[in-house]
Amino acid sequence: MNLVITELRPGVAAVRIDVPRLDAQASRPLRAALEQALQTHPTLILDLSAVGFLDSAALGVLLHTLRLATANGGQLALANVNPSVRALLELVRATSVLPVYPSVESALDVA
Amino acid sequence: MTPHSRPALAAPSIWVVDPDPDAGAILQALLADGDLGAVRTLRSAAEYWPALIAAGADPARSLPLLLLLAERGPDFDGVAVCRDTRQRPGLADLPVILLTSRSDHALLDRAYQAGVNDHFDKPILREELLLRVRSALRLAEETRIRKQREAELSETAARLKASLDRVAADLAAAARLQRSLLPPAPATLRGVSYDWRFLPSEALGGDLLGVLPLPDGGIALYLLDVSGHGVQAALFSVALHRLLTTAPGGLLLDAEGQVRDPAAVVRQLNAQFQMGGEELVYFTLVLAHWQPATGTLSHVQAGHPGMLLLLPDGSRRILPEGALPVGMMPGVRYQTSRVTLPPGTRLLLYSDGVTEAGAASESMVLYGSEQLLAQISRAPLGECLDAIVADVAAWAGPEGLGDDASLLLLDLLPPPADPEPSP
Repeated sequence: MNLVITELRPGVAAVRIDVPRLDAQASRPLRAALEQALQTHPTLILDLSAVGFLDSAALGVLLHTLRLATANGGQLALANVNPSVRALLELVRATSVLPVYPSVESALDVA
Repeated sequence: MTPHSRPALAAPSIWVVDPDPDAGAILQALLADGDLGAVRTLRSAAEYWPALIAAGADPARSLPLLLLLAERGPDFDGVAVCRDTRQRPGLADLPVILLTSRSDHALLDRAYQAGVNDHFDKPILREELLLRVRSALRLAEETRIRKQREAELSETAARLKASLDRVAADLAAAARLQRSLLPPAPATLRGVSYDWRFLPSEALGGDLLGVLPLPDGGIALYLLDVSGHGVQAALFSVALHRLLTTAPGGLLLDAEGQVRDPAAVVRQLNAQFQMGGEELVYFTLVLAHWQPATGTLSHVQAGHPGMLLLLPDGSRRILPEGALPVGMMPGVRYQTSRVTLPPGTRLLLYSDGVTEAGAASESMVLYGSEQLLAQISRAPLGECLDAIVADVAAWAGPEGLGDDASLLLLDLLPPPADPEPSP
């Protein structure tokens, strides 16, 4: 899984997901990688600028990660979400629980 | 044990067939010198054939591992012997070296066509003989090993294919069972005509839909889409189908047999099926309750694309989407929305596999709900559905849909003048 994890401040990391298509196949390693990232950084900001499509399995992973993060007092936010991914998130109303920010910096201001 | 499964280089059995007794003796001496094991010398075709047939028939004896043939002699044609030897069982790959006294083109052409592997001219030079014999034996051994591996591989492939065929047959049976849960269609129920199309991306899909009569004279409609696809999603969809019924234990009616509010049903499902564990499974669902008497559609949408409407005046609408998919978050407050629809409204429920057609293509440009809405026509239900399916398939292109897709199309007509008795 092509993840670039950058610590922004203690406990908060940006995770750039360099995968154009987050589908069922990509979901398993994504879940493992995000669960591991949460071990060191309770709050994650996912940079989805490289992601052009995500399917239902990947969406499950994002929500699962959100639940893990909030259960441990952290947070999960999305940044740089491209329009088609954003449309999917809105279609399933995921934006009602998953905050979406225009950039990692703007997410950090809120996190 | 097959004749060729002995270790060839450890104890090669070289046969020399040469009518010239001197030449035969010289070959035997040279080969013995080369430490190539036992050499058998035969003087004629009349000696050779019975010996070969006996060796082939008796497992205790061994077939030759290499044949050195004189090209010709009195009553002897080495090329013909080679050709006939090749026909015998187990000898198709036997290395054959022809000892020629003259190498003209026509002879060599005939010899190699008959299956000769190598040739050289008499007089015989010791070093050349040993070199060629060793190389022919090595090549024969490599060929034997390669063929054995190929045989093992094709056996493995055959076994794999047999198990795949069994799995495919199981999947086909499961797919038939899943399809048998779909409502018979086209059909008319309490004035509502409907038809559907069900397009699983694999043998089994995670989509399922239902149209059921309710005891209050209304109709329940649902279409659900379990995340992922394949066997796991299908099993889960079948389990949900068992719950979304008016039968005892089903969720559509309460303990008193009254029709439950759709949102209450979805809230209960959400409490029951929270994702977790190894597989993160959740589902999107649209559940609606149509009351023909009042023209009211009560519906709840859980992460599911909004229902599409073609109204009698020709206008088109998308009913807004509701809340999160079922199983993603505990405690979601699903709400039932109500809309009054005029008689003659055409209603389309679908799963996102339809509108996400194109996701598998390079460009990842999706079909989208606006395009689907525009495709709803006034054609008969089945024709309208087929046109939509064709349009979506053309959009998806050769990559296909990549996800399960299903469509349920209904014409909401006024209730019949004589109300049917409730079942």
